[in-house]
Amino acid sequence: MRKDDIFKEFLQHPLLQEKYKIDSAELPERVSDGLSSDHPIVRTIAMILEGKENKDDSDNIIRTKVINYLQTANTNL
Amino acid sequence: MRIEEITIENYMCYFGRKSVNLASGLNLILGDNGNGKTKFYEAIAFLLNDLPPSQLSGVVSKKALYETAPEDPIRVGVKVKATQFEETKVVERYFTVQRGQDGSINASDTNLTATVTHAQGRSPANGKLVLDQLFPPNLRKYLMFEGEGALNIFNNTDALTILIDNFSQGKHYRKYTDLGRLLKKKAEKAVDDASRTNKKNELKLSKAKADIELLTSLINPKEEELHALRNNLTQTEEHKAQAEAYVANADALEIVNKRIEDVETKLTTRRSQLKEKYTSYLFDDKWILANFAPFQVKFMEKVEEIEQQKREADRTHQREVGKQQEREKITLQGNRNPLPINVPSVRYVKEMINEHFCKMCNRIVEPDSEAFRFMVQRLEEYEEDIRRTREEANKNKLFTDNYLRRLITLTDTKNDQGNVFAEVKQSIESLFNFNQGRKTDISKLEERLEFEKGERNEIVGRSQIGAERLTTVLSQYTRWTNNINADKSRISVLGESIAKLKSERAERHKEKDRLDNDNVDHFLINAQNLLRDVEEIFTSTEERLYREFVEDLERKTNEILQRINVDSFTGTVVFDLTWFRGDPKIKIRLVTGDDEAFSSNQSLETTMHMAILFAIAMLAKDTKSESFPMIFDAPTSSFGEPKTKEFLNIVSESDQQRIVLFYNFLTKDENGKSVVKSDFANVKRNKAYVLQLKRPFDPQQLRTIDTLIEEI
Repeated sequence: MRKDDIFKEFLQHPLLQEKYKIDSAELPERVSDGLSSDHPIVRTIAMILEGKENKDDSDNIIRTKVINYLQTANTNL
Repeated sequence: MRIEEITIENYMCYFGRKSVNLASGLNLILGDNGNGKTKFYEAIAFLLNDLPPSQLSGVVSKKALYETAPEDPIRVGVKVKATQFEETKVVERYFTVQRGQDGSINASDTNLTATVTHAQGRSPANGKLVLDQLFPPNLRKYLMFEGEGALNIFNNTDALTILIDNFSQGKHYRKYTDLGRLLKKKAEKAVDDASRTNKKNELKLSKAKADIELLTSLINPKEEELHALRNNLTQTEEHKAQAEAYVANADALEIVNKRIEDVETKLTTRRSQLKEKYTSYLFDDKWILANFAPFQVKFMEKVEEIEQQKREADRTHQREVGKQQEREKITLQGNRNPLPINVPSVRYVKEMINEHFCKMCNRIVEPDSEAFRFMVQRLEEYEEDIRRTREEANKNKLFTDNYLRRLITLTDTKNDQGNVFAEVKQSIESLFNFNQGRKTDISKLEERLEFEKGERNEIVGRSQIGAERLTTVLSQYTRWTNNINADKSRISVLGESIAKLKSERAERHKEKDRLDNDNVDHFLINAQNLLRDVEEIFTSTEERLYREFVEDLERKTNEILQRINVDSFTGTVVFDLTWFRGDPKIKIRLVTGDDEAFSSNQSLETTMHMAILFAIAMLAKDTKSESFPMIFDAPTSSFGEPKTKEFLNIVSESDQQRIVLFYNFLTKDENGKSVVKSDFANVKRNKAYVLQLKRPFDPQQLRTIDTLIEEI
């Protein structure tokens, strides 16, 4: 699936290790796995990819979903 | 997508239905000029782009029109059968035409129909939709190329960017990058809004925001200017590179022109120095006397000899005369010695006769007297004597005229001129030597002039532009060089200025973030920071993938280019990728090993563009993008057969479908029929056809023309 490839490309970014201290072994391979990640940055990226794949989701819906998630995860941010 | 079959029906020189089955990989269609190659290409273009109604009757096979009964419909169309995503799609554009009894031709509107065969069976489909699926409109101009000139699509920066956008993975990331930007913007706005409502640090926050706005307003126009300058610089460098091909020639031309001018000036001087008015010199400068000296000696000897003879004759004669006179004198002295012949003189005798008086004896002389008669007789005798004496004197001379004296004078004079004769000879010799020297110079200069003119012709010929334009190129080249230096200098200044302003703005941003952090709920700040990072990840990933694609493209393009142009100088194709406000811009440059831009010849230009196209297609396949067939009409006109063979062999290595129409590898048999050369056996391909006019035909009558398609 292209979205999983894209997801993996995003997760290669050095910020994840340098700033968020996420070990590369912890990085999920698929978007579906990313949606249940404990790392908000990983999960946010997965939510954006998933949202974009779903043609019913507009950008505003995706944003709302992301913000709602971030509120719940605020303490981990 | 792969084209399985193309069918052409009653289109131009294709009478009836003519089909070609195409394979994956390389499909070659050979045809001599005038045998239907371009019409084949145009038939496909008709399927893709349609034609205005007014042009339809013009593309109908004349043979079909002539051989079909009036009022009978003739079907004209082009059909493509292709496989795409495990479906077989057939799309056809066609129209019907009828020839009236009066010879008029009426064409219907064109129809575009399609069918799609999939696992569930075959079903009709929307013709335009299927056509656009098979040949996406935004890619068509990158799939079909008529002639070498059409390959020059990459002179337009956008063309290459769009093409890479379509085939690289970049386009798949764009939507995330856009959404990432939006999320970040909204998060920042939420922080801004929340911060504004909080009066704490209001003044500092306002100042930080005002500073950021001010700095942004300073940065933006500078960035615009920098972007424009970079574009301008690239263009000027391209112009300079194009001119470079000529500038060496222009430089050489200027030098050779100066040399020609110099030689011509010397020639004019040498020619003006020549003294060749020989007719004048013959008389005015006494050249005629050049060889007179021996004649002069002979002449002198002769005169001396004659003079001696004359003197001898004179002496002998005088001796004879002397004897005679002696004899006469004795006779005269008979009685008395007469008075001298002139005593008294004739005048006095006449005076005395007139006065009747003798002044000798002082007495009158009566007329008719004895004395008077004596006086008269004496006068008559005297007069007779004078006359006779004169006659005698002449009679006694052996030579009445003394011409010899004149001859002696002449010999004396000419003898004095002996040196002059020598000088004449010297001056003739000297002038001839001088003229010969000038003529040798002139001959050498003329040879030099011929050589220089040959050089000039060669330079002008080599440059493919006229001598006048070459001279213009040199002045433009100098101007462009100056502009490039000025642009580079300005770019450097602008870059430093922008970097400084951005650094200041970053500091203001940090200040604002710090104030926001104090003012705003931590969730908003955390969300903003996280979404900023998401946006950074999306953007830099897209840029990285673009960059990697372009680097791969550059590498692959150069590999292909060097393989096509094996053993030739190719230079290196450089892809410059820049980002301006989130959009990639890609430009290509052909450079030497020293990174100096240079202008390629047509053949290299063609191979460079093809190398890019093929490299893109190969990379697109690597990135699992769909590939499309490419169709080329006579793309290798500037290649010779060996290079065409190398080129095709490289193309054949890919299993991506390409259809190439060209005229190489054909010769004629004794009947004028096209025959494929044996060397074509060495050309790797998946399928090959030859287009051939059906014989017999009348070259003056289109209604006899029918192109046959024969598989090789």
